Amino acid sequence: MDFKKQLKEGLITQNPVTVQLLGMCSTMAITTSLFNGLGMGLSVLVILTMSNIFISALRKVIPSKIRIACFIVVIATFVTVVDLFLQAYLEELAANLGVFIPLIVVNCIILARAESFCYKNSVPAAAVDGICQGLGYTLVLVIMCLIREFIGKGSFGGGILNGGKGIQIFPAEFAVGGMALPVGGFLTLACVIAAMQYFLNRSKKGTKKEEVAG
Amino acid sequence: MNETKKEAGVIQLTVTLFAICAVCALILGLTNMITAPVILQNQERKKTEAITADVMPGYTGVLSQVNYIGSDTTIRSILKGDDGSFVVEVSPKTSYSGNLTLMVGIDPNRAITGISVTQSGESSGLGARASEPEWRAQFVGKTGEVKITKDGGEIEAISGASITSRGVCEAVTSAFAAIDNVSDGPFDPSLVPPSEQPGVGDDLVEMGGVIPGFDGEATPVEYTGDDDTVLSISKAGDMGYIVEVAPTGSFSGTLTIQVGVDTNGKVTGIGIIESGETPSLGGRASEPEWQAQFVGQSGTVAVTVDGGEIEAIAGATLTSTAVCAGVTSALAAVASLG
Repeated sequence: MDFKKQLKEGLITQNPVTVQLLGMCSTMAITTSLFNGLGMGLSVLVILTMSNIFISALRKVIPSKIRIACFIVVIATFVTVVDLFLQAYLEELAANLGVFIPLIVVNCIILARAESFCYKNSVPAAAVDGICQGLGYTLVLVIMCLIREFIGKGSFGGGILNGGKGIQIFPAEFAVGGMALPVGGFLTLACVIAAMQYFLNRSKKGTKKEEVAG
Repeated sequence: MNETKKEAGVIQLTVTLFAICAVCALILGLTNMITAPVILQNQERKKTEAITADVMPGYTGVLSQVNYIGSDTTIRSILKGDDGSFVVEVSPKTSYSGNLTLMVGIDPNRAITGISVTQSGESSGLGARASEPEWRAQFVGKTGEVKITKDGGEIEAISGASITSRGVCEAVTSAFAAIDNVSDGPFDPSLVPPSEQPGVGDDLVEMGGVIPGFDGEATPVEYTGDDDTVLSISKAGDMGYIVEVAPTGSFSGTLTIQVGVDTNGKVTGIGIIESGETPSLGGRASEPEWQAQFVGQSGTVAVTVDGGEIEAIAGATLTSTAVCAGVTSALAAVASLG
């Protein structure tokens, strides 16, 4: 188990959103303010880690014929657990994220990690994988929130800073309202993926050269 | 190893899936046990905030309904807060339209924290101004008997709407008296006398008007005809029917009338329920003298210019024609019932 390697994979080289292109729906829908992005990202992180551990622990018990059904039951359980806790202790976040919390059940990131990683790896590795992939997802959400909030509303840190109003960087009248709408989600996601791929390719070339040199 | 997995029989699959589901159910049950009370509390708080936004700003505790054991029939419900404050819902006897309901917030020191109008049929621009925040703000901090200045009190009446203003003061005064007459213990709906239940009493008064002498309870009848201006039909015992109809062609587009029809298919009386007509012209359709013309009419009812018997209101032909159309629809609807 290589924590550093897994973290690098989760955040950059195997980032669930920008490289694996998973969980795009929620990524575009909820990234309108920093509060929502962080909340959603951390919810997925918790659910992903818990279901990863659970599925990895049971990987020898679950017959492969019914593994998908078992994965979904486990994932749905943890989604409901997180949903209930959010409703109880973070009411505002639960109201903001609305249907996207229950929809994490069908968020392909979690099912994909269960199928491709947890079913084959040990419990500690699966736990680390959940944390790293979750961080990768959260990172992309936060980047998207910052971009969309800044261009779409002219503010920073909506829902968290300045009593929930966010810090207004330039007057909202000059903001491009469309960036806060779904169309802005598509544009931002495309740009983020493009930028990430560009830097990935560049650093790949870099490492190759190093390898050659080494 | 792989071979045995492939050969896993239905029973093994079922048992495994069942076991996983059972563990998941256990986890969910535990979570629910922890979170359910908190979620319920959150919902209660939201409900309270919705109620108290106007009448008790800033109150965050729990409100629970208590039993009113006094004899004031204008009191509709009383909510008690856990700090000894009250929110009283009251429909005063005095009001211009006969349809005014208020919420009165009273703090533990017996001072008003705020009032709000929850239901009102008062004239817009006059009595309806009772719901304006500036006017309502006068009541904050008042205690005991509340009166308008004309009656020796401190409340500035809404100009042109002394009756409504008096009604609101009466409601507030009743609310103060009512909170001394609440019983402790859980809320019991059976202790609420039937006449206090919203709506019932009002309807009886209105319905009596179109069928003179009828004082029972009208029972709704299903109308299957295709005239969509007919809103409802009620059977008034063996005395006939009461039809609510919203004719098209009125001046404002908002006109609802009630027509009483006896068992011989003759009009016993009409009443205007809702009207957006110009007060001095079409609004005169609510004058009893003009409405009296309709009594005894049957079949097709029309104004004189259309060859009928009804004298149109001067300057309000459209309204008059619409009322006639409404009465005709009502008669046809009753006839279609057989």
